[in-house]
Amino acid sequence: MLLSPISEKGDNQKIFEGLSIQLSPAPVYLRVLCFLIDVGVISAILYPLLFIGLVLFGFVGAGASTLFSEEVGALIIIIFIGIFLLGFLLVNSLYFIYFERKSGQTPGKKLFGLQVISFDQQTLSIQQVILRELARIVDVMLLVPGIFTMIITEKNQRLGDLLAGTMVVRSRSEEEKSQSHYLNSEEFYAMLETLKPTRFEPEVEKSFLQFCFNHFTLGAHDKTNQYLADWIKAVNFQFKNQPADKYPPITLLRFYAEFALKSVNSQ
Amino acid sequence: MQPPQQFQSEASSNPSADLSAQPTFVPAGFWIRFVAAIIDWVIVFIAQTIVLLPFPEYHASFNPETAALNQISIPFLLLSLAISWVVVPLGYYGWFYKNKGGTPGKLLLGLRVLKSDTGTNLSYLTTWLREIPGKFLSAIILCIGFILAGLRSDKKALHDLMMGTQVVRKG
Repeated sequence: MLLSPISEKGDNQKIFEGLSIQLSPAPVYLRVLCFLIDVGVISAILYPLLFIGLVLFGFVGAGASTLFSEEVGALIIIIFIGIFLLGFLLVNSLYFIYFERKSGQTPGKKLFGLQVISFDQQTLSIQQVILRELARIVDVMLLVPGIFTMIITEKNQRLGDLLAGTMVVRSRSEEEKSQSHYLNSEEFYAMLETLKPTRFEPEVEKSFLQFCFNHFTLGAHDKTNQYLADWIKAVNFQFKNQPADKYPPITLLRFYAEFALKSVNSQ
Repeated sequence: MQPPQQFQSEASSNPSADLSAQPTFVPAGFWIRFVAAIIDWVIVFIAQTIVLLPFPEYHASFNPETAALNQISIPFLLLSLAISWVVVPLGYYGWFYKNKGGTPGKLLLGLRVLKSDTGTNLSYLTTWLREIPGKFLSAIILCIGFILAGLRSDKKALHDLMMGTQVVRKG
């Protein structure tokens, strides 16, 4: 998703005017969480390499200790750990540079619908991305400078954001996209606006969700097909006073399943 | 699974095929769940480290007179252990399962953990019972409970069978 370029001047309300989706500066706790998730992903990829490398260098170091002296063996292991740390920082930076340049969303940010946007252009330029990376060295020192500047600035910008002229926004609709189960989120919210559904009784809702989970998710059609027509009737009955005719019955069923699922999940 | 009485018809009518291009899910196997779990362990480990940073007792300081690291008192030890080993993991798994349907490691790989009857998200209590006694029992005999996920056709591990949950993957 690409956002339209926005102006740095004016208050927040003005900035988001004209955007079809509702945006707000990403809250600080979510940005810290997303950063941790990203670091977790990188670490999970690199930890197996660390273990393999430690075993290999352990053998080489032990061999060097017996052949030459213990100092040489220790030196080899220290060199390896140094290389690994440098490699970790390099991979870390490349990961953020690649994803922020590509779409402004690292995998961790994508989970919560966060996106880095630039004030003056459509996507981040390579200079902006690298500037954010270099400033990250200061920002993540015990997480203190970054969090402090995010709290005191109006648009929750850390030092890197201030230097590069970027900010991180949160889009609820992007967040919802990964949460859709029975129906795509765009289609769901479009239908939600026109149909304005009401919920089933709790027991009916439970058996309806059981039916939908077996029919759509697990695909146990031999068990569920006998109830399909009846459930379509029951769902249509919910919309009896509304313009539900223009949607195909299966789409309506999926919409109502998504609605029931979201209602139960948000209880 | 049955519709209410008033909508049940005498003979089952012709079921229409469901061919629309919508999200579909299939049971998730052993290895993808294993990779997701590694990502989660690392994230929890980093979070545990960060919450312990404010405790000065964990900051090693060397006293040349006694030649020992600084003393750690028992109440402090219990408090810090409770925060890092109980509050952080239980909060992490509970919040993500309840509100997102899966932990970050699982969500990044397109996995969801759902109740196997209704397909809704797990509650906090179900999550905690699944994580602690459930996974403990799965692990206790040569991890046979986890291996079960690779053998069964519905890919349910022992802790899934106990808590009535199902791990699905975007297919």
